[in-house]
Amino acid sequence: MATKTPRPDDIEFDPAESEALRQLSRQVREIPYLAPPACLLSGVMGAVRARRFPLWYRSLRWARSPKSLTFTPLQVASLMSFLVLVCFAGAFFLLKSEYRPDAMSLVQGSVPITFTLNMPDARSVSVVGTFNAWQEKGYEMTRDPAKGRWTLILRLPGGRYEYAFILDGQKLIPDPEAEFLADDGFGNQNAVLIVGKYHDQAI
Amino acid sequence: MNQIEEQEIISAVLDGNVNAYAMLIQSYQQPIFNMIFRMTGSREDAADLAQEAFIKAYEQLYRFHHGRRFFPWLYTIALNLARNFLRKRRNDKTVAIDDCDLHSQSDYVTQEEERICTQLDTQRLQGALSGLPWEYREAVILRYREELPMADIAAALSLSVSGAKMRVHRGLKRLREILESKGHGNKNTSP
Repeated sequence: MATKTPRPDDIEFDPAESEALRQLSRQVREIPYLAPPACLLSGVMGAVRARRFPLWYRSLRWARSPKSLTFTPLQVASLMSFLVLVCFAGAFFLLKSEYRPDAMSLVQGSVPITFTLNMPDARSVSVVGTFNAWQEKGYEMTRDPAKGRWTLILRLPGGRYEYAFILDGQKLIPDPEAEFLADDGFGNQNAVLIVGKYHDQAI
Repeated sequence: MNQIEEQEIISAVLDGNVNAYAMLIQSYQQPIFNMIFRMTGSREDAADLAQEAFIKAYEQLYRFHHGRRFFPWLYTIALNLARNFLRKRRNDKTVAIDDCDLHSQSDYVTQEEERICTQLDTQRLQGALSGLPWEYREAVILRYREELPMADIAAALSLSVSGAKMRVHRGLKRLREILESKGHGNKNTSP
């Protein structure tokens, strides 16, 4: 009977019974096994073919395994053309829908600003500036019949703004009461407004 | 089958290659079938339960910890099934019969039995083994018949490594005592 080299985790037997137990262990090693029935393999395989691992596990396994992608240069060119078209279309629509904040959107601002202009003879006055992209629509001022002053209250976020008044829909004038003026680059001047966060301001 | 091959097969099965599972069955069906046979004493029950163990192992394979040995894990599943079966059989005294064609094995089994009968020492040893409590019997079998390392025996029997060593040692000593009590001990034999 062949003897095997002891393994590191072999059991240390009592010397008095060591040899008998070693021989017994060798006899256990020689115990014959019954052959399992042939239907065991076929039965198991028939059953497991109908079973699938949970969907979450299959998805996770799929996502973790590397994938190879095959494509032709023509397919790449088509894809790139499509992406370029999408980019151009996006840029076009962005430019076309120019941002025009109205009085309502500015209401979301943090500081109420009262624009005033003492111009009793004017028929209409609007205020335009960098805060509304110089669009007068929706920014018409209201005239106080008793005092002849035009006023408009807006809520503006903190920041630096340039603005002016439009008289009767035609004439553009800076705020005559503004403390600061700035050249507009076309030979005219705009009033400068600095809005702080925590103070109501009257212009 | 070494551990690397085993892990590759398990990965293939988990990736959807069901047929790869047949290699695991072929590698381990014999010790699993025999273990359950030792527990139940019935080939039909052993075939039934071994099949159930392999199916259950497949269903739970996605929970199997990568890097561990498959056999101790499978062994634990099969052992638990066999123990549950014995518990149930004690309660309702019913025995399930497999519907597969076991008669195809009868010739082989007969030959196998005949061969065993010709080896009286082995027969006595098997008789003594069947007299051991299953906890000790399986520890001895796993150690000396399956030649598993202690760590794997500990995993299969849900013991610590030192507990597995103790179980094997005591099992072997008890086995010797049983053989001696029947007058077939090898106390005075020489190697």
